[in-house]
Amino acid sequence: MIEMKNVCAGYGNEEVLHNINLSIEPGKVTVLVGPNGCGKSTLLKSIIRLNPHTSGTIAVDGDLIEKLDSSALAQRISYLPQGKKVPDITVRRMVLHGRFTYLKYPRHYRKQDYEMAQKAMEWVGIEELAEKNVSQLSGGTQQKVYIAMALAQDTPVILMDEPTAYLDIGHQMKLMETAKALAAKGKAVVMVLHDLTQAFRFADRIVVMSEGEIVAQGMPEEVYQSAVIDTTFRVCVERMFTESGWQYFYKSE
Amino acid sequence: MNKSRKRIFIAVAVLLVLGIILSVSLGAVCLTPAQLVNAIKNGSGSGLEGNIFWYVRVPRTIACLLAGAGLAVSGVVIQSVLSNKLASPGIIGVNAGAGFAVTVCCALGALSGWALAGSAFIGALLAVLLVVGAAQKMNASRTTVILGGVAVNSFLNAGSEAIITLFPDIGVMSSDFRVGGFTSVTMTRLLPAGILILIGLCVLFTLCNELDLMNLGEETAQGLGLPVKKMRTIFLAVAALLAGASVSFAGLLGFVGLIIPHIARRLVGGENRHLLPFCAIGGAAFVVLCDLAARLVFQPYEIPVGILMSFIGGPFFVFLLFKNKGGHRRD
Repeated sequence: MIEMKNVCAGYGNEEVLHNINLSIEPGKVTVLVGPNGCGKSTLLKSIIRLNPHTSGTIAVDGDLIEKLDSSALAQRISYLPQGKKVPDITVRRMVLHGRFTYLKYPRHYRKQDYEMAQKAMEWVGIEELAEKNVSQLSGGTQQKVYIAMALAQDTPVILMDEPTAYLDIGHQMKLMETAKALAAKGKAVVMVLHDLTQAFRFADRIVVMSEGEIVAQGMPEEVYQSAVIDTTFRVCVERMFTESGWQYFYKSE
Repeated sequence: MNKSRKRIFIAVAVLLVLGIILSVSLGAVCLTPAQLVNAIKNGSGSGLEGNIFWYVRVPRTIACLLAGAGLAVSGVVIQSVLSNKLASPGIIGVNAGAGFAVTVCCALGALSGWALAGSAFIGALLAVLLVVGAAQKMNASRTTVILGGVAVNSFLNAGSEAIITLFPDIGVMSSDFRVGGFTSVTMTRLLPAGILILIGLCVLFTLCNELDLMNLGEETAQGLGLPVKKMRTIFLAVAALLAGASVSFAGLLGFVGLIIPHIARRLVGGENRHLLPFCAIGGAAFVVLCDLAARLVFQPYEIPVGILMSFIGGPFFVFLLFKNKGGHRRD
């Protein structure tokens, strides 16, 4: 469980996050939504100390993150960043690097690391590409390799910054189902999403951010009823009940 | 390791062994196989051939191997840490920093192998930290890092020239040193630098996974548990150690750290557990063969190997620039 209390963070002298109070609970998919530049990615980065917070406290299972070294933090939280580099290595090797934080002397990956990497590749459906070079894959498949690497890290908390980017709709749905499955196993999954329909359909909890602050949080139904989406994004949200559940539509004000 | 990669490794290793045999045999005086065997058996006391073998050819060949391996591996590390495939120790000012430090050291009269190798390391380290530190502070693009390196190169080379002008008697800055060459290598000068290069290579071979992670970018690497800032400093320090120690006896040998990593990536891929050893072997083979060519092509004259490498490396660099055309747009 991650507990953020009165957290402020930013870049240099510019404060982006103001007084954030947030609990990220295990067994739930928490989705961060908000307009561009509202601080969603900065919030994730502050949790893994990429953008260290300037005030307040962030604790993982009761331990302050600044007290944990890089390896200990990576054994509790995995992070899929928004901007990614494309390395010139095989898919298997890259997914295997998800196990880096567990490397011990003599610094060779163990049998269980290979097994975990294989499982992660199977989970996202890229096991047949294991010996392919990542740089030769399409953007969507590269995204899946990154997701598999984060899954191979096998942490109680998974942070994903726009994980559905580059994925076609079928793979987006599969990813969201994977997130639900991980949450069902007791993991805390946090995702930054721009697709509000998916956020409403798959999230257990939605956190709405605007200008560096959390303006609403709760279950999707609570957030929908509060009309905070309308005011934050300056759109009108409407929904219709269908055989596959609620479908959400948006139109500009 | 897959079969094709294994074949490539074996082919380059064979090339290296062949290069070593030719390097100790050929030159102004050619040694026959029988003379070679005799020199090896009887040591330096086996007449003129023995002296040539032990005091000229062996130090020179070892110097080629060490400089080739050191500069090529240093190039891979610098390219990975800077995420810039145009970077190399010769281009971003690392070699020039080492050269400047060696010049200062000689001007001060400290001519021992350890003093030269140590000062070269410090000069190389300061140069790379200056370029990388400034680039990070300014959030500079890849092209700007290269231009910054070129500026540091010019500045440090001008500094070296100024010292030579003021202290004309210091022997180290011969034309051989300025362009890179092995004619004046001795075992005394080679030994300390060789130890440092071997230490640097051993350290890097244990950090292949960490270097792979650096290639994934700072955010991903940190998310995977790599202490990125600490590791960046360690990698740059080891790259400076390799390049600096090489410069201390080989002079300002350019382009090895640029050409070899590019060719190696094409042949064995980007996984550092394959790439680093391959660059070490490939760099050593490349420098040994280039040195051999520099000795033999214009016989009876011998040109410094750095000149030959610049003839190869210059066009290669331009090729890379065109291949990455608009590199600044991709930043």
